[in-house]
Amino acid sequence: MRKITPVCLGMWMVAVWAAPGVEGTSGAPRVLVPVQAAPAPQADIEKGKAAVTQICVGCHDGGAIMRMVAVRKKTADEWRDTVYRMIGRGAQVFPDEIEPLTAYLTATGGQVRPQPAGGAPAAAGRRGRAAEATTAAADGDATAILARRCQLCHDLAMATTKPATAESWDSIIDRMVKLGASVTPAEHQTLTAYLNARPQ
Amino acid sequence: MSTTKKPASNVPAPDADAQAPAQNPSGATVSRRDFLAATAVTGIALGAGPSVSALAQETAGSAPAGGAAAQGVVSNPLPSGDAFEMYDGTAAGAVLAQLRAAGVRMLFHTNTSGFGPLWEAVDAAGDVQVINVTHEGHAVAAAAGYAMASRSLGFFFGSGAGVGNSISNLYCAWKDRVPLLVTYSHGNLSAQGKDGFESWDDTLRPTESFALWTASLLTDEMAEITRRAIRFAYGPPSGPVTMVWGTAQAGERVRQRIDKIDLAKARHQFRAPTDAIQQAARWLVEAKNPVFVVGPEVFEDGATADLLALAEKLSVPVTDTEDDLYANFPTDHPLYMGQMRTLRYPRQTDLMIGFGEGFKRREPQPGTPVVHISHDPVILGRVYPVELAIASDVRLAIRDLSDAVDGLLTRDRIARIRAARLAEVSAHTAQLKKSREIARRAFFDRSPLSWERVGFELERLLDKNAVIVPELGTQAYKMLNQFTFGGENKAKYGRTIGSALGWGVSASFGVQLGLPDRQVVALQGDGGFLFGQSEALWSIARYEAPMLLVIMNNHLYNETRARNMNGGGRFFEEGRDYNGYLGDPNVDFAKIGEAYGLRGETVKTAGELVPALQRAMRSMRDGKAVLMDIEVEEDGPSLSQPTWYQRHSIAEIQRKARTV
Repeated sequence: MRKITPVCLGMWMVAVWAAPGVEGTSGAPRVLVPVQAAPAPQADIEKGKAAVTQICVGCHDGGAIMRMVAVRKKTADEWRDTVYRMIGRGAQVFPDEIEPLTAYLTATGGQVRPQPAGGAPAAAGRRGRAAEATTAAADGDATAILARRCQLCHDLAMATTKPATAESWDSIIDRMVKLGASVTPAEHQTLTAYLNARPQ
Repeated sequence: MSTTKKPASNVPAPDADAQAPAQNPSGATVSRRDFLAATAVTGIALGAGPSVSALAQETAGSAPAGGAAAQGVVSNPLPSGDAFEMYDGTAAGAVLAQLRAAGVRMLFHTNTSGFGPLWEAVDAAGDVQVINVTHEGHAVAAAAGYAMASRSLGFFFGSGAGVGNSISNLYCAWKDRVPLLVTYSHGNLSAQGKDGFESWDDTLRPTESFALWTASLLTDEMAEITRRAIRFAYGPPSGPVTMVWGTAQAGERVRQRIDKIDLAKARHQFRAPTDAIQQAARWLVEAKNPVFVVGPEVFEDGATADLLALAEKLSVPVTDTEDDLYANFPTDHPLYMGQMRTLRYPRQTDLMIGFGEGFKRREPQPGTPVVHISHDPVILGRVYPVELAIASDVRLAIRDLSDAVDGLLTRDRIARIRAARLAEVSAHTAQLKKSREIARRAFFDRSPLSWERVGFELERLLDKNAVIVPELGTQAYKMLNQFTFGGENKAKYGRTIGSALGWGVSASFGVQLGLPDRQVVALQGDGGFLFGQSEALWSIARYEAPMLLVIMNNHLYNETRARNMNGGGRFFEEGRDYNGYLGDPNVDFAKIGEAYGLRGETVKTAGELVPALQRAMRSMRDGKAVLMDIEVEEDGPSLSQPTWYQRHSIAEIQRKARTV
C-alpha cells in the first residue's frame, strides 16, 4: 500500500471532512462531529511545523510522524493532550511550543480519517481516491515530494537551490538520504529530474 | 615518590596550578601537569606517557614494585601466592566451598531432585541461604536481580528438564551482562541418544546463544571448573555461564584446591593507551558542543561519581538511550538531558563520547564524530562507525580523561568553559522541567489515572533512596520521568535490555534480596504481569520481602497496539486490534496478591491513589508486601472498537453441540 500524506491528500480532504469519522478512547464506537474552531494564527502553525521537524522526528522519523498525524483527526484539546503525553515520554518541548504544536497538528491532522466501524461504502470510496491521489504524487509530483520529504528540514527555497559546488542534484539527494532523509528510488528519480530542469 | 589514594592515572595529567616545567620526569616530585607541559614542547609527551604510567601503577601497588621498595619509599611486598586452601569433602561440597570462597552466600533454586549432597553441604556450611523460587525462569531472573543489586554473583541450581523454562530470563541476563552461574541437573553422557526420561542430547545447547561459556562439572575438577566459570561470568563483558552437573558424582569424596576470589575485582580492569586518551581529551577541550552518552557499563564499572565529576568539570550535557538499565547519572542534575533520541541541545553536536554505551538501540545522528569507550572490545564501533575506539575499564578511562583535560587547560580556562556552558544547558533543562510540570498538571486529577500522576506520587511518598524495578512499555517514561534517579536519589534496575516480558517481578524480588534495607518497588504493566509472573509472589511472601508491586492496568498491550496502528492501515481504520485488548476477563490483580498472602489494593480514581499508597507504605514498614492494581489511562491511537478481539467460545461450541 502506498503511503498517504497530508500534502497529496489536501485536494480531497474537504470532501472527506463532510463525512462522519470515528474516534474513541474507550467503550462503544462514537461518531466524531467536526467542531468549527477559530483557526490558529498562521505564525503559530508555522512555528508548530518547525517544532515537529525538530522534536517529533527524534522518535518518529519524518515519514512516520506525517503518517501518524495524517490518520488522526482530533480536536485542539485532544491534540494538546497528545503533546502533553509526548512531553511526559520525554519529548523536549518548550513551554512556548505547546500551543504552536497543537495548532499545527490540529490544522494538519486527520486528513486521512478512520472510517466508521464496519466499513461504510463511502469510506471505501474515500480510500480509493486516496490511493489514486498518492499514486499521482509519488509518480509525478515533485513538489509534493519536496514538501513531504525535503521540507521537513529545509524551507522550499533552500531545498531547491543548488549549492555553489560541482555536486550534482543526484549526489546531493544521496547525501540527504545518508543524513536520514527517507526517499524512495522512484522519488529520487522524480526529484532529480525536476531539480535538474529548474533554472539555477 | 609517595602513595596516592586515587588509582594511578594512565595519563600524565599535571597539577592544574603548576606552571613551571618538569624538573625531573622520573622523580618523585614531578607533577603530571609539569610533565605534560615540558614534554609537549619537545613533542615526546605521548611516547613518554607509558613509562610514567608504569611508574604511577607501581605507586598504586598494582604491580611488583621492587624499584620503589629499593628506594625505601613504598612498602609493597610481592603477593604470597597462598590465597587458597584445600578442601576435603563431597564433590558438590567443593562447588559450594569455591562459591563461599568468592563470598557467595545466596543460592537460587527451583524444585528438583538429585542435589542431596549439595543440600548437605549447605546445611553444614551454616552461612548460605537458599532461596526457593517456583519456576526456573523466575529463579534465573531473581538471581540476576540479586546479582545486579548486590554486585555479587548469582547462582542457580535446578532441573535439566527446566532448561527451556529458564531460557527467557537467561536471555535477559545475557542482554544485561549480569554475571550468573546457571546450573542444571541432568546432562549425563551415558543417556545420550536414548531420548530418555527428561533428557536430550547436549543439554546445554539451547543455552549457548545466551551463555559466555557452557561447561560440565567433573567430579575431579568441581572447584576448578567453578572458579573458571566465575572468571568467564565476570569477563568483561560479564554474563551468564551455564553448567550441567550430570556427569559429576556429586556425593563422591574429593580433595581439591579452593581459591579465594574477590568478586569486586573479578572483572578484569584494563586501561586505554595513553595516546588514545590524549586524543579524546584534545577533542573534548576543542569541541564547542560535546555530549556524553552514558550506558550500563558506567554503573557496572562503578563510575557514576567519576562521570558526574567529569561532566561537571566542563559542563558537558549528558544523555542516555533506551538501554538505560541503571541510573548512571542524576536525573535531576541540570546537565542531564534525557534520552538521546529526544536530544535538542546542543543543536549541532560536534563531539559525542559514549561511555559504556553500545549504541545498539539508538545511533548518533549521522555525521556526528564519536569517541566510543567500552570495557567490551567487541562492541566498540560495531553499530556506529566511530572516530576513536577506546577499550578500557570505563571508570579508569573517565579518570584518565579527566586528568588529561587538566593537563591541557588551566583551571581558569576550565572554569570559564564550565560556567558559560552550564548557563546555556541549565536554561534548556529548566525550560524542559517547566514543560513537564505543565503536562503533569494537565492530567493530574484524571481518572483513569495518568502515568505521570502515579510516578509523581510514588516519587513523593517513597523513601528518597528507594529502588525502582520497571518492566513497562514505552509509556514507562511518562512515569519514570517523574522520579529522581541516580546519585543519592532513587536507584533503578531495569527494564531488562532483553525486553522479554516475565522478568520484572522475580528480578525485583532478587533486587530486594540484594538490598534488604531499601524500599523496592516493581512497576509492572498488566500485560507484563500476565506473562506468568504471579507465581513469583510465592517467593516474595515466603521470604517476607516487604515490597510494593504496582500493576499499571490499562487492560491493554498499549505499546504493541500503538506500534501496530500508528501508521494507519486497515485495522486502524476499522478500529479492530487482534493483539492488544486484555479485558474480558478483567483480572482482579489485588485478589491474586491476596491469594499469596500479600496485601491487595485496587485504585480506580485519582482520589484513591494517595490514601492507598500511604496504606501500602505502612504495610511495607510492617513487613508485608503490597500488590497495588492501579487503573491507568491508555495512550496512543484511539480505536473505534477498543475492546474488540477475535472471539472464540468453547462453551458456545458445547452448547451448540448439546442442542443439536
